[in-house]
Amino acid sequence: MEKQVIYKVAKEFTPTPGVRSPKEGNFSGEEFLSKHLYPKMVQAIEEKFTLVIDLDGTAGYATSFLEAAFGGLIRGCEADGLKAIDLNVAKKHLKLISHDDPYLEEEIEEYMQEAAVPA
Amino acid sequence: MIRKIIIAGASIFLLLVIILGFIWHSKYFKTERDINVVDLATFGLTLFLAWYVPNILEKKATGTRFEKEMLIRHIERLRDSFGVIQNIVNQATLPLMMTPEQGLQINSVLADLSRSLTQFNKLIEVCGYKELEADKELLVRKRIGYKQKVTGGQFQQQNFGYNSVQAASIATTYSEIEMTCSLIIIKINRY
Repeated sequence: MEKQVIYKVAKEFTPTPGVRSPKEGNFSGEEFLSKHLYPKMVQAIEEKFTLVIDLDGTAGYATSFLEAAFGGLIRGCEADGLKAIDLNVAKKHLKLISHDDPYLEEEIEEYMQEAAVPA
Repeated sequence: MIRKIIIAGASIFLLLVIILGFIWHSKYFKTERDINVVDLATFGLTLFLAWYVPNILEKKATGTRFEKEMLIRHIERLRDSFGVIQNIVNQATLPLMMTPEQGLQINSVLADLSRSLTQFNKLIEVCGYKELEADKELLVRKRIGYKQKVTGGQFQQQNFGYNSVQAASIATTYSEIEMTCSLIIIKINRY
């Protein structure tokens, strides 16, 4: 079994995730992507471990935050120097935990799938 | 103590047998010595119904009624929670703006709804209402659609308020959710 590294959003980022982009407010999805999710994901792929994102313990996640973070992970962002990550590779190294909102995993997967489809 | 109870019981039984014996041979009562098959069958059926109705049928009916009421209450609570969000949306439609607390409340209620739907799924599984599976799935999809409309775009941005087009679209989805909840309640009632 692959090694697992757990990242707890409420503890390591914020208990109150916010908007889509940093210019709209604090603790945005894009900030979470560029400073936390993306670097950890790249590390997980390179070092061949599973990144476990624990989504519990926050005040909840808005669609805009989730789409920017997890959709952005697959899409990448040239302006921020983030290369797109293949959906299957990301899914292989990413595991989500969400007991507070059991349908969150399904929702996030949907954003990742949508981001993988070229516009 | 037990011995006394047995003696008392036996005495009462003996007394009853004596009384029945008197009645049997009394000139005031006419007794038949033949056994009518139809009467015997009726007697048997009466005994069976006297046992079956309170012990099986009524217990089953009470159990089913309890389950129905529980499922209906669950759906009503779900509908009320959607109502809480819709209320906030109405209060945050331009020119009115959403407060940060209202934004957090929406996120929190949406997470509660997600948990409630998982619980509902478990309840229908335990109660054997497999036919409600598709309705529950419809409600799950509608919650996600509603969430995307309510918390998408510039949601939680400073001075955020829904414009009239967004508000109308959210209201439409909300009324669809209300309708779905009502239809599920009717369906449960008809079981």
